Amino acid sequence: MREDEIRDLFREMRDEPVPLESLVRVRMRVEDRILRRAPWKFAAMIGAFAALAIAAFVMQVRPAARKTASPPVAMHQPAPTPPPEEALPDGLPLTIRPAIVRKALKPRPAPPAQSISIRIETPDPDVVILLVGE
Amino acid sequence: MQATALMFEISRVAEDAFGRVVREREAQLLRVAYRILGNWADAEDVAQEVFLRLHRHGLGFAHEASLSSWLYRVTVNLCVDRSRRVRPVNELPELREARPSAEADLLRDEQKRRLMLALAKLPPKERAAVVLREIEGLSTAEVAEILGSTEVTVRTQIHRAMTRLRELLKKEGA
Repeated sequence: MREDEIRDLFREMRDEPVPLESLVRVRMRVEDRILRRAPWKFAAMIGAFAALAIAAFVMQVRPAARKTASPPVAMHQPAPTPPPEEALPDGLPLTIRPAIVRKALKPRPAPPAQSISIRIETPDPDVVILLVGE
Repeated sequence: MQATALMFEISRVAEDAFGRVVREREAQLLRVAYRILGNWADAEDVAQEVFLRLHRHGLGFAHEASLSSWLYRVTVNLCVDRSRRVRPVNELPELREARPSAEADLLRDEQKRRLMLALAKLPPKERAAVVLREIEGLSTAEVAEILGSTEVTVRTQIHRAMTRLRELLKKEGA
């Protein structure tokens, strides 16, 4: 047999039909295996989603807790006690410095609320789950 | 819960897309696996494994050509692994049911049967190269990509395989 005859036979083989029963068997076996595995897969997906939701909730609560904390209070330093008056020698002017009173500091303005976004990528590149929390 | 419904919907869309790929590609993969392995039972096992791997991998392919290339590559790798484990085929490979037809058709079927038997005697990589290039009609570059080798290697493998096939068929008296 020559090489071109072999190539002709190969080309004919390309068009030969595949037995229908083989196709059906493969499809059924694949579906069966996937369905058997699917509940676990779905449960895992739900679990992952729940974990992310909890994480988002915790992250949201923490800054709020910080916000409700009492604002910083300025410390009032006691005015320095003047030394006991002593009898000054006559002729010297008596000067009294006013006590320094520090003003109370204004509480800092609370930081603006941050938005939290969580991006979950699925096997399908066109489908992305975005969880946005304020 | 809306999120759960969304998850169900995503899952359903992914399963629909996967089912479509299975329907479109199963005949092609079965044919390639059968030509490399020489029997339908092993070819079915390989095709099934390829689709299960695709399901795990997901359909995140940039374009149709990369999906096709991926499917061919996994099929060929599984077939080559299986061919190395299993003893070479000594009995005549199964063929489709012979139709009672004209004498020329019977002669043609007999030639194909002998060619399949000779093909089964080639080393797995050479066999895969011949199946992809000559039966599936892929380009040398595509075959090289699937087999993970160079175009020069593929050309050499095909040339060597064709020479060997001619020798085997000559010995058989075809």
